[in-house]
Amino acid sequence: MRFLLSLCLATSALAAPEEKNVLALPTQWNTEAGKRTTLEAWKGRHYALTFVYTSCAGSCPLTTKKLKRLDAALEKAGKPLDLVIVSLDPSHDTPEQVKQYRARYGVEDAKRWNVLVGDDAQVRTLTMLLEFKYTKNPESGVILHDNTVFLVGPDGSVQTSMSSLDQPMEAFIDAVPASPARGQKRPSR
Amino acid sequence: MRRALFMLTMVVSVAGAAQPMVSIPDGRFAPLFGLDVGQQAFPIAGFRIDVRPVTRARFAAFLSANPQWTKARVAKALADEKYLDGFDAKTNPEAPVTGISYFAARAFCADRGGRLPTTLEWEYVAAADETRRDAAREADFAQRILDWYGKPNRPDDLLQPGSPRNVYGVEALHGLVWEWTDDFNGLFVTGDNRQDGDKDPKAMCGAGATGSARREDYAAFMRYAMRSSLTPRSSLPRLGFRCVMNVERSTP
Repeated sequence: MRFLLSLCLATSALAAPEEKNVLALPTQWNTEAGKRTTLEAWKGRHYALTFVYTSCAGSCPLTTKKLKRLDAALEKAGKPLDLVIVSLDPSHDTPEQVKQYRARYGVEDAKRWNVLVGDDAQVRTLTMLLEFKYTKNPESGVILHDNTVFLVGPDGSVQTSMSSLDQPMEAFIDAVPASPARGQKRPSR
Repeated sequence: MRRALFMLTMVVSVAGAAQPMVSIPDGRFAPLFGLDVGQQAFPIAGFRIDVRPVTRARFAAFLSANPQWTKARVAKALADEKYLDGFDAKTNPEAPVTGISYFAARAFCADRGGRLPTTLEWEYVAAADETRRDAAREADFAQRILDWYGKPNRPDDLLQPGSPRNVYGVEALHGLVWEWTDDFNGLFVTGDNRQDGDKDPKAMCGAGATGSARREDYAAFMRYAMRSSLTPRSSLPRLGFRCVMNVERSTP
């Protein structure tokens, strides 16, 4: 019993309260419909957040395919979530590019998908809040980046995260509350 | 009258005057990391940079105007528990401010209408010595920097001048404090590199050193290693910052 208590204490010490919070600093984004928005629009609800860029030939296709699987699995589990996908390459990712990106992955009409495009300073702020690393080659435009999908909670804090490449998504899905509050207003996009 | 003049001088020197900056010209620079095969150097657009790191007095003025960044009020997501530990702007107000998180440094620069330098910009300026724009691979300059890095830290070191004014007119980039850069965590030297195919293979394990563009520049290697150890919430007693500003460009 004492051992179990110690184990619990040790575990809770390891799992220190999550300090990452996407609302700790304001960030401004454009929706695909060309409206200005902030992540405050998702306040009060859980959502999945990650970063890609539409011309990425490296890991982004794998990330996007995993998001599709995650989207389907969450729906199957009765826990549908909005997916917020932030562009790492705002100067290139025009609304037309985003449209083509959606078409390429067959998610033209996926209502829960939200692709946000801001500017480099907004991307830097949000990625730093999440400690999501990326770097852009100034000449080739190639972006090296992390491959993390975050589960963001109602207060903007990160609840859990997973690799969008090779990590199973069961733990991520388990971390999503079973019965999300009803009647929440869906952000317009 | 004399007293009034003295007071005026104090006000101007501490809060009123713009922090001295100098212009850095356009150029090209080969950073230690980041060049792909076939790339020799990256173009750099000119900018303006603080002559010296931001001082305690200036940061205190920023805190007065922006109390959300004081130790008592700063959000936990924006600074760790060491943030502004022992901060005292009255003692040695012209010493560099340290113990500030990335987010606080960035907010300070934005408040001035500027930003933090990118790592590329910082390294470009820091490669210069008193007479040469790129002295990083010159043995004498490299050794002076390493000697500074090898010196034990003492509290009153923050009052030392740091490296002398370089060819651009920038002071104390070496030998005083480490400095935040806007993309300090942009290098992928991690244990994950061999698994993650999207990352830079030149930054993996031994290749992190031998694959770099400037093997002679061990001082830069130490700086990249230092930056890689930080999180944006880190607040360290020897970590400060300086700001840069973009230069208006007329379009052709």
